[in-house]
Amino acid sequence: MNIQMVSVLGAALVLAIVAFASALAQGFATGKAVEGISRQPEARGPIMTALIIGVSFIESLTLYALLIAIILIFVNPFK
Amino acid sequence: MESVHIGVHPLWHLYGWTFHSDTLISAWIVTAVLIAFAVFVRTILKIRPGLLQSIVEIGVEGLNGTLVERMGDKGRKYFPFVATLFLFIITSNWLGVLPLELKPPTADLNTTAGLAVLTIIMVQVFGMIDKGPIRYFKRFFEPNPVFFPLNVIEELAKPLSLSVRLFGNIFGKETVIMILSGLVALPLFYPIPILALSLLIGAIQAYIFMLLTVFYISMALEGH
Repeated sequence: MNIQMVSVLGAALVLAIVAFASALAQGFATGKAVEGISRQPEARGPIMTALIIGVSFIESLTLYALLIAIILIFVNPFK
Repeated sequence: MESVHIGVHPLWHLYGWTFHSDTLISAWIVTAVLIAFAVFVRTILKIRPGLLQSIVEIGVEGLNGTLVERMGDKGRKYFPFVATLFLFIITSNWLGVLPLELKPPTADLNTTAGLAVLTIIMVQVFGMIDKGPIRYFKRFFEPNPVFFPLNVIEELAKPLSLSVRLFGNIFGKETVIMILSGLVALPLFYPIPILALSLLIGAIQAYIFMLLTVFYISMALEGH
């Protein structure tokens, strides 16, 4: 198992694990937001704004993992 | 799959600088389209608005409403900066949907990093203009001078997350479309759902960038 194979495996694993966790977190957040809207439909605007900002912060963690995967595959520092 | 080149840009070397020519050309095209659109809308303005003028007015009123809601009446001052960011990013993102050999400028980390660094510098400038430099920099020593390093790191992490979020979404979408177009069977059919999704992603990412900019500006303005 050379360094190339380990890097590809690491890139695949880092994205899979982080995407799993962040999908779970975004699901929780969206579920709670929909619950809030269905209880109080007039508060839709503020809830949507808070939801979008929160979800985008969760998503940025996935994108850091994507960046790590891109670096591992295309500009591997260990080659 | 022989034609898949990911993250490779044709280069220009000018006066010791290196440019990504595809990013630069599509950014110029986006700018030209936006200027042409603005000049065109300027010529058709009327007291009784037509369809296009109504759409533009809805957008302007919506953004003004968001700014006023977060910052009060002085929020209107920041409308040009925020609206320019939004229009540039949404036009760039949607450029990838057209069947041309153009890549969206936002699929290059250099463009998004430039936009994010510009945003954070402008947030500091707006804060200083509004509160005065000394009162503004007191923000970094709150609630206690011990928190100074943490506040600085928080400020420096903002451009990183802004730029990587936009770049990751658009670059990921472009990569998926490129790989699906390289499939052997029905290469024209498979990218269609992703293209439809990419319209949504492009609009949402531009909206998030704009909303976070408004959020950061309002955070810089509030306080004592």
